[in-house]
Amino acid sequence: MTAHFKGPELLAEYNYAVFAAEGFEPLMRFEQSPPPGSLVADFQLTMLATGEQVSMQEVCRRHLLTVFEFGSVT
Amino acid sequence: MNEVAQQYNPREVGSYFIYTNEAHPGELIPHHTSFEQKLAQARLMTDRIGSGRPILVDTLQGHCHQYFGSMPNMTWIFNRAGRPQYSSDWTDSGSVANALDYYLAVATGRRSGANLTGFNVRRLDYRERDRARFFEILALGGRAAVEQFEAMFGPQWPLGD
Repeated sequence: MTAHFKGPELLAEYNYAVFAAEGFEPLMRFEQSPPPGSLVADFQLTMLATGEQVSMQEVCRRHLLTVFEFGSVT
Repeated sequence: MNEVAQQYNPREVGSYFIYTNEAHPGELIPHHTSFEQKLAQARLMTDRIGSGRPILVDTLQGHCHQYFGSMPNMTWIFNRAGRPQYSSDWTDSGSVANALDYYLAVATGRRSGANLTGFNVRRLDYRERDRARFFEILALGGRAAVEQFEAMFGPQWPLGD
């Protein structure tokens, strides 16, 4: 299992109010993210349409391949 | 990405959008201070995403987003065993389609009895930059979002980049 890497847990750090380097740069750690082929942690996510909690790994089991795009409206 | 989702859905490819923190908060679409607010702002994505890609909302702390690197618009492709096959620090539909074609061919080969094993590849993909579209989306957050971006990268971005 790839270990969780520690990141800012405080809401104000993750949900920065102002787009500035000191706000978002510490968050961006793509080079430390799990490598292809590795076992990864599972996460509970909220299905927007229904409000139900879904497991990311369970979602993967529904398909041969699953594409997850991360982002926001901004 | 909506077209890619529609194109590959019949081939057992699921497509989802994971809602994260606001990359460019502004006075119209501010940073999240509650999960209810995050859900409400995620609903603003529904028109852009369409019905072909369910929206999954991460926790207010962004546990999933942070685990996978916290990039503002990254894409990951997983196999049925839940292991990542592809990750990109920015989303490009051409790159994703290219990867899906490759992994679908791998699956076909395995079904045909090919003895395939994985190996690691490092490569750089290329995407077209659409400055007008980027600033159009940036302005959704409000004037502050545009001003903060220009303060960091200059109003002429990406010229000279």
